[in-house]
Amino acid sequence: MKTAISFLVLILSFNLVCLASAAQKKMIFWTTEVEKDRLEIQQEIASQFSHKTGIVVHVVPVEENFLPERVTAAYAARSLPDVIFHPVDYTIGWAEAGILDHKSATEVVSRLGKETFGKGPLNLVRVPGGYAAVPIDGWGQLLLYRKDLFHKKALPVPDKWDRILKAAKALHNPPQIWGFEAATDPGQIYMQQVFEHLALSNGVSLTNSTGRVDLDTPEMVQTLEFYRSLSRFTPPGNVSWLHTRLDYLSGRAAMIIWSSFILDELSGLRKDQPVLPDIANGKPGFLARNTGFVSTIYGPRGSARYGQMNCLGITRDADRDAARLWVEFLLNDGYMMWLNMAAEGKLPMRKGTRDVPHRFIDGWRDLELGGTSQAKISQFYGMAVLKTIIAGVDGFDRWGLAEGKGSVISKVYGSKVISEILKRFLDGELSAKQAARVMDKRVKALE
Amino acid sequence: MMNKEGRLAFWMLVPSFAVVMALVIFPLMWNIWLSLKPISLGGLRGKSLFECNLTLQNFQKVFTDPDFGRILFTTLIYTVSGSALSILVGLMAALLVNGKFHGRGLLRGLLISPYIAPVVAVTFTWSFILDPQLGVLNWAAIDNGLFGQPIPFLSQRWLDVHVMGVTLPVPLALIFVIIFEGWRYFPFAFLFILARLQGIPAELYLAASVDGASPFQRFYHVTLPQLSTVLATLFLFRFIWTINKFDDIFLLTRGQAGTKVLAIRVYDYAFGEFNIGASSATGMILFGILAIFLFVYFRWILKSA
Repeated sequence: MKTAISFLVLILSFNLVCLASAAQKKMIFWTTEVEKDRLEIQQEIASQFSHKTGIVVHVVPVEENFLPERVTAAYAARSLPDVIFHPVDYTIGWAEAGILDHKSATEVVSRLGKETFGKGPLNLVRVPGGYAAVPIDGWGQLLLYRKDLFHKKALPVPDKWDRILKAAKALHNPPQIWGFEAATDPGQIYMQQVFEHLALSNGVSLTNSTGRVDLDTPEMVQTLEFYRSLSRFTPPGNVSWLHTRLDYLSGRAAMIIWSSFILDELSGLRKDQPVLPDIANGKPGFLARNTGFVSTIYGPRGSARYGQMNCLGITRDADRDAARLWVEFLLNDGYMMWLNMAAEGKLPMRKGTRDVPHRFIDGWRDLELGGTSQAKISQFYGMAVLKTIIAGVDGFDRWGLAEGKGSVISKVYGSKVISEILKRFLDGELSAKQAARVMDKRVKALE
Repeated sequence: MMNKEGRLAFWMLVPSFAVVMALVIFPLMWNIWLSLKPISLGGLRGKSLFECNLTLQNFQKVFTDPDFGRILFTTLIYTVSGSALSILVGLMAALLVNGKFHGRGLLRGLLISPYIAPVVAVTFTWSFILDPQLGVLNWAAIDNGLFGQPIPFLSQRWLDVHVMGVTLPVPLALIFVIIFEGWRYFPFAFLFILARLQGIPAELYLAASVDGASPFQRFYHVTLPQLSTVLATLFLFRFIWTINKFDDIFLLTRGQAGTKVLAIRVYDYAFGEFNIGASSATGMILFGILAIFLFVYFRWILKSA
């Protein structure tokens, strides 16, 4: 009996505490930056924000893979969070479905100054009547290659298709080393990202010159053939981002395509990611020094730089004033802290302020790898690499986003339909021509 | 006029009636309603949700999907073989630990473990073991010269197997997903069968031995008939649960490499293509298949009983 009473008292007092704190304004922020140290930084930004404005921000981590279903469920249940940090793949689709409030986002952009953002990034989120969401950060996709091995065989920089193929053939010696590790796991968006980069580099866009979806083209067939040639130098099975990174860091891959996030692990400064060539040679930083980076790939009929951009979306259920303040805070006072979560994968999409136009770009150069590694990107990799990476602030090539096909792209990324057909092609179930036709048909069915 | 006891009985039924209405009947009706409407993500809110603009276009879309036939076939293969395998393994396990021996309790406890382990943990372990690059199985097999090169068990659709000069394509990933299903759910069958085994009177076996029946004959003519009802019920349960199974396949293969079943298609429509209508329609088709199966099954069971 006694314990029951004390339990009741406990519950009552807890309720009272809750009531007392309910007087403060509260808002919910969903983020796909779910790693523990990054979450701590976001909570720190949130507490600084609430110190300044009195608004309490509840930071909720959501895995990127589960974002579409969580948002769909929350939308149907009328309980969307106030602000969602999300990849641009979903932005336009959500705006068209009425999940994101483009008026609030447009207002934030104009208050911060349209000219303070890169032109390319804003182009990717344009909707009739403004912007669907506010671009915050992004990363460029890189082709990494082993400079030392290339040098030994006198191979040229693999920035063109024929050079990539030739080098892969020359260096392929499994299981010691794989010539080129392509993405072959259709369950991961990574496969779409790598394939889209190569397709774009051959001039394959989602749409043709009349603005209609058109994937059944000779360029696409050529890209498919190229991808299959590359996959011959790839280990069997479903190779995902985890495998390619692991194999590159353990010196078992001569070339991979990865996001600039890898600069952190590659440095060898992280204890949880041992870099085997460094250890084998007894020289810290061996692999980093002997890695070359290509961001623009040249195909027979074009060239492309692929990248990913992340946005802050204000939802229709949001407390608009609070949400706008929070987004503005993240892109202003809290911006350097935000970028510092993982500088190598978070390029500033906002270049500076009205008064200091290059404030954030200059600030970014001084950030450290992985936020806490005590090594600046510029010092560790040198200015040439830095330039390759920072070129991304002006935007990336992407399928369909700038052509107003954002909602189709949401579904392409959501359903992973391109990767699925690509995998069937790689498995020999479809010919290149058939695969191109099926891709075209399936993507058109998503419109 | 109902008597007092009768009225009381009615009142006592109210809670369960309410629960069934809220958790079964209403969602079912709501799903039928959604499956008959052209509804996408944006339509999940607002007046259009309640508009009476019913159409069959969702079903048309689902049925005309070029992959539909294959997905349906995969679903049936997966469900029947997965259920059968789990019961078969369960039966073997139950027979194994039916007699008395040292450590029987411990062994029985261990046999339950696949069923109680969290699904995410076991699927992760399986995919790690079966991984062609990092997995211990491929490593051991290659080290012992069993395979020439690693086999991607969960990501390759077909594997050519050479048997006596004939080359047969085998649906590799599907087989491993079925094996996983059999492994994970055999304890369920095992528990039921073991309980029934313990209830079979020893006199029956004694009498059979006196008549000179061999162990196999004793199993076939005494044990199996005694187990027939429990096996039939088990198959019913396992069939219902397996056909609706989503998480196991999704976590192992994400429905790729020829393991896409209807339950995964429901998810793909809803959260990949944001087509709520088509997703509900697929769910209804799944429901229809299950209803037909249950009808046939109950007719058959009633007749044989």
